[in-house]
Amino acid sequence: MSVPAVLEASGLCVARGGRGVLNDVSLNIKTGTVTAICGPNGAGKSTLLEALAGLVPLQSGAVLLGGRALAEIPALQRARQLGYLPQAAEIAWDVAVRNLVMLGRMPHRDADHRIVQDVMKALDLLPFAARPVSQLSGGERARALLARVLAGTPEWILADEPLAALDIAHQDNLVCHLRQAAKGGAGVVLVLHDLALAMNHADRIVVLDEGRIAADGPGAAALAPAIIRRVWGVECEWLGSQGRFALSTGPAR
Amino acid sequence: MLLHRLDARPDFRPNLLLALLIALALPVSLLAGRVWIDPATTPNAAVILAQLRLPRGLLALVIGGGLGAAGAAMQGYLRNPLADPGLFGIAPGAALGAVICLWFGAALPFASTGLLVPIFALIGAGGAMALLSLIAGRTGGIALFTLAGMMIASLAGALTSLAISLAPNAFAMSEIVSWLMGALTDRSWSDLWIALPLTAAGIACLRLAGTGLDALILGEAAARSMGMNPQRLQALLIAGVGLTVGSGVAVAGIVGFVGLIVPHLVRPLTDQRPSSLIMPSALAGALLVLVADSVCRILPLVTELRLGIALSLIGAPFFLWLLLRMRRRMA
Repeated sequence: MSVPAVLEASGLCVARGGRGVLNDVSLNIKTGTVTAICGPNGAGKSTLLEALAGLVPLQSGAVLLGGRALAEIPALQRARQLGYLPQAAEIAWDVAVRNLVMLGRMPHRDADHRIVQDVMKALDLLPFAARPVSQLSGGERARALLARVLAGTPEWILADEPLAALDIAHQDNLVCHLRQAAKGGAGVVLVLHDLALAMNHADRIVVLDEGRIAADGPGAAALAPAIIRRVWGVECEWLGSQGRFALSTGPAR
Repeated sequence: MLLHRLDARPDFRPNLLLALLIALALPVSLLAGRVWIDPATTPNAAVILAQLRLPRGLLALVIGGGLGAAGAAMQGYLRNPLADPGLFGIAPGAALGAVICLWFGAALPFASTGLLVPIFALIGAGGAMALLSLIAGRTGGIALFTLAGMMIASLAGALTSLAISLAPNAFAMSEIVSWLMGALTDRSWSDLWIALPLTAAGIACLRLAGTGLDALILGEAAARSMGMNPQRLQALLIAGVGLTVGSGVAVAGIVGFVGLIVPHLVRPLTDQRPSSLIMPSALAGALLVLVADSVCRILPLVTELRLGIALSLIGAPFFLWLLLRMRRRMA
């Protein structure tokens, strides 16, 4: 079995507009796993994902990919290894879905039709291949955007809220694909607001609170009711069983 | 099973169609005027065609091509259908250079050669490009870059107005105002030899920027994650827009609206990727300026209608229509 690659954040500090967004965040993520980053609004989840993708200037600390600082890796090589899906990605022009997905091949400087076709088939996008993106539903659009990332066959998939606009069937389908990608050796890092999705599908959950790591570990530990109460200020309990948890929130009984 | 076409290569059909239209329009344009030329009967027809009409027609194609390509690239870069090459401040910079030359007029050495105005305009365009690179070139950020361009445009515009208001005599003032309106009247082969290589080099730079512009479809962050180098893209755009627009202004004055209108006219013929739009926009821009210049010649007015005015008369209502259509879509 091959040795997993590592994406490592060490002592990350990031400020935006003079305000510290990430404070001394250290993480060590391995390929072959699904990691969810959770936290309340403004906790720094998206910034952490951008930092892992090498897209924000760091005040201090470093992100290392396979032991090498991201900043030292040439942009195209980095792009082939790290696939990044931003939150609420806007699509500037009304391109057809197939052309949108083909953009994922840009880091490879090729137009590998077979890979694009496979990804579109896997994400149930072939029926819309020629459709302009303006004519897609929110869910179809979210799948097309994720397909663009997958078409680059990156070693790491860093996605910010990829499941937010999807119905439960497509959420399930997409999570399966992301899990499959992880099984196939990719490192999957997702920013998720839905704690139940994180609990049920992530191997590891990193909880951020005000730019610091509040909890880190498997779902049962990182999203224990006591931690949710402390970080989100919400009383809750987990219902159901392994892989089918649902979060019940409300005033304490 | 039906195999869906996943072809992301450019479709050359719009280019072929537009090239064909140009091939048809150019010969007609050479003959067009208030008095149409009949090569068989018009006295000195060969001289008029070779020395006046042909360089003028070719110059219209070159200028229109440059402005069309620059407009497509600008809209792709700013991800905004209302963007126009003028936003970078290069056209106002070139205009300022030309106005300074006209202000000093005959006092300048080699004034009689007729090459000084284009040379000064190119220096003005180069100055605007250098300033733009200096202010925004290191960060690669689009917002700062655009604001820097707008600031340069505003400054160059103010200095041009100052030069007009302080013109040494009425003749210089009239010459400046008339030049600013943009025209291809009395242009010669030497103007073409200035504009052609610079515009060709500019369009080549814009085409090189195509991949980066495509990546920007998904926004700045996603584009950078795909390996787009923001500094390289900016450098290509400064060079591309600077060379096309700067050389256009240098030989024809301010010719507005081409860069704004043309990408809209052509976009439905393409797959909408910015890289697919650059060449069709260049060809459509060339056709539009050629036709507009021919119309300027044909109209039975006391003096020939200035090209810049004619294009603004077409462009302003088009712009309004565009805004109304966007408003309807947003509603």
